[in-house]
Amino acid sequence: MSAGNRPPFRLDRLEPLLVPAVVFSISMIAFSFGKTPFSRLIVNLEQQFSRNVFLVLALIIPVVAGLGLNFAVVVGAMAGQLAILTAEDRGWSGGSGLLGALGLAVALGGLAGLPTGALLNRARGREMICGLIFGYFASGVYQFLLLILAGPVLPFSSQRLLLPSGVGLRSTLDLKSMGQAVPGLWAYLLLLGLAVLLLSWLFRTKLGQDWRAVGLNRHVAAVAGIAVERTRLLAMVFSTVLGAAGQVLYLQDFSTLNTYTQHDQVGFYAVAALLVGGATVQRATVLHAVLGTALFHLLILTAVPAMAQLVGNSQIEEYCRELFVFLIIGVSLVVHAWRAGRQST
Amino acid sequence: MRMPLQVPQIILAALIAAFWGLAAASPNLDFRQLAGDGLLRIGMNGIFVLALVPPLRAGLGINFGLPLGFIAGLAGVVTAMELRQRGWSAGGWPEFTLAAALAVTAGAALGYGYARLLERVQGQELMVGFYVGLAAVAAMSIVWLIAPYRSPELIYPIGGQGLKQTIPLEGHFEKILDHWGWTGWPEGEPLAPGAARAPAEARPLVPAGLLGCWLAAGLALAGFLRTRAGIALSMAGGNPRFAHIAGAGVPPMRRLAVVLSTALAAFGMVVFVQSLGLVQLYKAPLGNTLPAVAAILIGGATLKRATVLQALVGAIFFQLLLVVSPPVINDLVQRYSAGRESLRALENLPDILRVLILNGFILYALTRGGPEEER
Repeated sequence: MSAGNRPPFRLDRLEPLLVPAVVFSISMIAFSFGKTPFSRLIVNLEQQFSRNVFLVLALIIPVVAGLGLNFAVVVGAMAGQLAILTAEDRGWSGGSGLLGALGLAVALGGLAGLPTGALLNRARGREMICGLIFGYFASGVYQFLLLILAGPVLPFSSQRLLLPSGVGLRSTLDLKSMGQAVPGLWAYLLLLGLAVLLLSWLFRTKLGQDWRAVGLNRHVAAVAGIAVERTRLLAMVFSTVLGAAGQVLYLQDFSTLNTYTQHDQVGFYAVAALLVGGATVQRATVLHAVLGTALFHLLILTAVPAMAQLVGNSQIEEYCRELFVFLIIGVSLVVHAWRAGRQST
Repeated sequence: MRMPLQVPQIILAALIAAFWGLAAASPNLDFRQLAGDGLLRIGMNGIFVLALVPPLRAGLGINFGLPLGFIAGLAGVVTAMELRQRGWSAGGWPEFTLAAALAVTAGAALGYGYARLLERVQGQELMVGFYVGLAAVAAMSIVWLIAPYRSPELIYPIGGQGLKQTIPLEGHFEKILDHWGWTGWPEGEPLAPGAARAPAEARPLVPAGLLGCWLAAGLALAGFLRTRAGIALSMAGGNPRFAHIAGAGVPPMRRLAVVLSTALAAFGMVVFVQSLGLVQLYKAPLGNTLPAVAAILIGGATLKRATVLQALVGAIFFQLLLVVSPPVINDLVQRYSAGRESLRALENLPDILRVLILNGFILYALTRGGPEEER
């Protein structure tokens, strides 16, 4: 990874391509050493891509609006989990069931996005760490909702979801009625097309222009008459809504839900994927998200088994995967801060 | 030293007082044992909280990179255990000293590298520190799996390679600090009313050595902060420009603060492990960072100001809450649920409460430091 993130001295022109190119090269080298057959790799990659791309798309708006990498996307993921749990409890299924779950996810995500945005407005300059910790905090609220209120207060009634005592949800659930609601790759591509159109349209609206303006320079934007705080708040609401919908799409394909822990790693993986596509803390596009998701999962699918094979110990795979994720994010942050420091001196 | 009493602290103090009052009033809970647990937990986690003081004072903010020190501490412990098995060290105090020395050395070395990194990322110290911690733990997990440790009690029985997830410290330096100066229970006194406890679990009510070690570390740190270097360190955080004019270089002082913090975290992990009686490797050390951060903030520290006293008081407050809330809530549930299975769900409440209070205090501090100038 390190080579891909070397600070650019004379490579400024090629820089946007640098990270994706290096990641692609590493993946190809790893693939040539590994034992995974090509057809298998393509099938896995297609699956990982269609599952994850929507969560990565959810991260673009906050970057554009100057809030940085949105680690609070886990709040959206939790809202999505609540939505799919409700859908499962009601026995919704098929296309209409999926639409219902997505609608619910949008509503819950919007609701959850408001406090997130309000909090980040109070933590200017520290949005990323604040969003990260808020994800942990929200996890406590989520546990309270699903462990203690689900049943007596929240109207869950399916015996398959509830614990035998009637209070609290089981910790692992098979999503039987919501499972595999999107019929195939063509449907994912259709959804992806819709999501991309939606985002492109959003960025052309007045609100989208305001996000750009606030992201470029908050003070200038304020002078130009933009309600900065409201614009940032809406950026978080939209991101959380997209995150909630993204988690619904992820889970219906995954078909199993670890009720209390599923969201834990969502933020890290999505952020790493966005960065691999060539995005930075201050710049992200739809292309970065789509390319990044494909490349990130290509890297994980090839380099992780190759490392394990090299070391001769398959137990390292899990840690290797995490190390890749944390290094990608860590190095990107270092480069961002480094560059910001150089510009200001 | 001023202790600003703010609303969150007052609410928390009331909560703690209420819990301990309930514990004292309950017929099912052994108050003495709970108090002993509280003291033990304070001593075990106290040094982690102290480790946060130097970077806060030097203007680097919260050191979310504490796990870097933790893995140094764990490496010190397992290396000392391996060396003992190979006959290079005696058990007990020599082994503990060896583990601590290795841990502090490794911690200081890693801390130096980490400090050099932080120098280049001004304004993003918190986030970079957080990811340094995460990446270090993941990288070290790979090292644990392939490092050439050979002692059979340390490694997986199959394959001849890879340190175990959990390694008992029995026969090494288990509880050597906790039991320091303790000669056993007086004849005839029950260890706990009603319950016969295993002798291995027997422990003094007051872990004098452990608490002494924590307080000594605190005093040493406070003493250091009063020396020339210590004052220069605090000046680097309080007023960098003034520090520069006064001839105290800001970068070396920040470096020193990070090295101190990482070394203290490493030493704290050795102390923690001896108390726990277990070495927990892989992802386990990640769980100790945020509680330490919450503790110092509960003690009244802010992103810009922290004292040793705040670290000591914060550790006491936070651990007193963590120790007492699960048994008290469970006891209340059991007494008043009258066999209703549905109320058992409330037994999850202490854990949820811990998550909310811990992260709530961190968020409170992060949103109150005033807007940081964006770079």
